[in-house]
Amino acid sequence: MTAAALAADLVPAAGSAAGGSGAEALWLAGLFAACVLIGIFAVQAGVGGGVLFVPIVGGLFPFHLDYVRAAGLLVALASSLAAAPSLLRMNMASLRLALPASVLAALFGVGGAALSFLLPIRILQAALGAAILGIAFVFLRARPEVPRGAAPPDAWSRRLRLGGVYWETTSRAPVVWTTRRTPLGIGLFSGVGFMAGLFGLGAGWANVPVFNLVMGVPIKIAVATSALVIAFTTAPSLWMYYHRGAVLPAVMAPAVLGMMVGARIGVRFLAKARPRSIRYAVVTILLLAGLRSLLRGLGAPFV
Amino acid sequence: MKPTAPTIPETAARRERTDDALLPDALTRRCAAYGGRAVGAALALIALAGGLYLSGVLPSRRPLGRVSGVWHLSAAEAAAALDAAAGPASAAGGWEGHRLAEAALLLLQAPVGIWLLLLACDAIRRKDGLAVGMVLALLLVWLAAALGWWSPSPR
Repeated sequence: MTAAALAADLVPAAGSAAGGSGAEALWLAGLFAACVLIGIFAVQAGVGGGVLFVPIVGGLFPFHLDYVRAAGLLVALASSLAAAPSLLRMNMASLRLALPASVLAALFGVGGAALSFLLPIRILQAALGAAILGIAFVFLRARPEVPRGAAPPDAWSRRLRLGGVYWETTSRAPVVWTTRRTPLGIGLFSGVGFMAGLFGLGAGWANVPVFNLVMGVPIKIAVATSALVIAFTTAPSLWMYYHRGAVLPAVMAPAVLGMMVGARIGVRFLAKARPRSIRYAVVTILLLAGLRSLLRGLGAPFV
Repeated sequence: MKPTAPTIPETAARRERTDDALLPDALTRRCAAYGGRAVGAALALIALAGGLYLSGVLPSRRPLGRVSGVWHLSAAEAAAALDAAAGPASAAGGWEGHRLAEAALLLLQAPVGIWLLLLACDAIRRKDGLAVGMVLALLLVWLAAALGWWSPSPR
């Protein structure tokens, strides 16, 4: 259908509801409610939110994947920015560690976002499904590494002065940390950034394993610093979506506000949460959503 | 030689050094303070501008009633249809609810800009060439993306 024909259809719709009513208001209320739930789950599962938002909203709501991916980036940005100031104040998030990781991630994130608008939507949908299934597998397999004293820093770690001290509440002692395999870890962030930009997923699901398992950063510092990396990485990618007209306030405002409300509720229930149940629930959701997205991309008629 | 136990002043000095190391440095504290305020302001603005736009209080060339008719289309197709339906740019009477909400959403990036500037100033003050290079690279990527230098043609 041409733009002119679509425009002719749109004029009566605007006349009947200047600010929107009926079905669209229901969709947006549903989106807000879904994002509150995603926010609650995301906090308890220790993920940023974008990784749950894109497959769930992309699968259940009538919005095109362009808007869902852009909203996913904004949701990830909002969640990470909301947490970052407190994490910085607690000396858990390291600006020095976030900086080298973010340079490559931001550059490749912009590349991923640019590529996403050149790919046919079906290929993008199938690739998103495959990526979500892969992320579910990472969630299922990865176990955080508990640091046994500070690893000897490599040359890059010393040159970039990556390291610090934080107070470990469980052992009630200060923990000195530094990084190992720094070039490999920083190199891996290029792939993480690319996927974040391509699919609008945020990147907490990958930042934390790279920091923790590859670079030997303690899990708490890895989670906290990941918030900074997400902020530095998603901000440039978001502009790419904006210039393609994918920043749709009608979808984004309820999504961001819903996630913020959900995250605040989720924090209150954090002490009572059962991590294993939540982990399996998140993996199940990701497997179902990923499979659905993959099948839709492949053109399966029943999804 | 048997190691001697630390004296009380030595223990106190050691504890003080550890306590100092546990505290965030001045740059991190500044980033936390400015970032926190900027995030709060941006979220309040999103709630306000989004509410004004979605409720229809502010006139817009892209009212929700029209947007919901095209949100199943790709961004490029939807933009073309909405622009064609909106007609001349003066239709909204000067106020643009859609644009205001969009600006509020994009303002959420303000803390990132503030952090990068603080990091750049700190790196320059310390004469740390590598850190200056990394901050400048990040700023450049961000600015180039914001200016639309790398935006491809639509699919």
